[in-house]
Amino acid sequence: MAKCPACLVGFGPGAFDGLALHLCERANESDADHVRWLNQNVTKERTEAADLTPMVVRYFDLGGETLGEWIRARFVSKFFGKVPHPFVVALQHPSREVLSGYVIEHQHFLRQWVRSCAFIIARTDRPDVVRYELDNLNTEFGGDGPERVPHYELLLRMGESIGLERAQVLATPPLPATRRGIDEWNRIASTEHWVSALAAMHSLELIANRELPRFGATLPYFDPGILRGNDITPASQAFLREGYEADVGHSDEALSLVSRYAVELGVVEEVQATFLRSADLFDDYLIARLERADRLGG
Amino acid sequence: MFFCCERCALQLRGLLARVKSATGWSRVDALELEGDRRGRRGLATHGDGRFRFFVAFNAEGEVRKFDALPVDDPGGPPAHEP
Repeated sequence: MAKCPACLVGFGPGAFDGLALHLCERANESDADHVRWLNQNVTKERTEAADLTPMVVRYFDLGGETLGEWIRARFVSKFFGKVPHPFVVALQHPSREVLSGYVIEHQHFLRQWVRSCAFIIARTDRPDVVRYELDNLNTEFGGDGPERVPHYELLLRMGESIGLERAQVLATPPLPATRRGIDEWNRIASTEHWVSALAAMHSLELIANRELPRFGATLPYFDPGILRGNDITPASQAFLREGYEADVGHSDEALSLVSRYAVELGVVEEVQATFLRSADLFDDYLIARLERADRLGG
Repeated sequence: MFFCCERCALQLRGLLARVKSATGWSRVDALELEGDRRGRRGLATHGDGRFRFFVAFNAEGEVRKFDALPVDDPGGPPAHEP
């Protein structure tokens, strides 16, 4: 079923003419999310639905790629393209304020993350997906003794190492873009198809995938040199190293599950749209980390 | 003036307010902007006055970063935030 990548309203299977008409109508009403999606992905020109339809069809066409490859290519283009995302640029050699923005906003993200994983477990009937998500829950939130500290705890320790009291971090409400992302990811995970939820959440792990330069990324998530030396605190190195080492396998495995089950269950088009919506939310959320850094004087 | 959406209108209003605040000008005669949603370099003029700047917005369309640039800044789309 074709879905709108800006608001996830559904049309019929392959009904990209309906999607194009919807995009035109909403853009003519000056809806910011629909205008944004069209401008950033298809065209900045005002276009009638009949002319927009083939452009939208081309955009969603997998060509010879698997769905996972299609997702990865769009993710790389959006966050690591010719002009990389400003947060990625800032994280190459991050200031204390940038890392503080990371901590304060990301603790909200991670708390929603585990809720999203739990929704997927509750809504799938596939044991390999359940196992994948259980592993994820442990890595991110549960941990396994002092040798396997969960990512959430490593994040809070990074905060403490740069002078952020844990209680202060936990008591700070999210910025509006973070709040909006959390609310929409919660809605996606609880109401969209579980394969769409899987794609929406785990495609985001591509951000820390160190293999992305092989697929056209102009920068890594951060300069791996900061994992050595004294540019950032040891606790910050521990947090960033965990993601850097874990997320290659994680994101690859998730995309493999998404590709397989989207085809098997006939939900490729809605998975594409849900991924695109999630990527836009993530874009805004990464800006919120920088906005928090700006407010702290970074 | 027509805008594609309310977010763009908010961005322009916020940008003009920051330029006026930074320069003390009562109005801006012209704005030239280069870049994209990641950030824009700009030139504002008022009579013979010229003011170069970098601006970036948050997801709601509010000004997130605003920095004055040297008057001899070469312009062009920014590769990244200063």
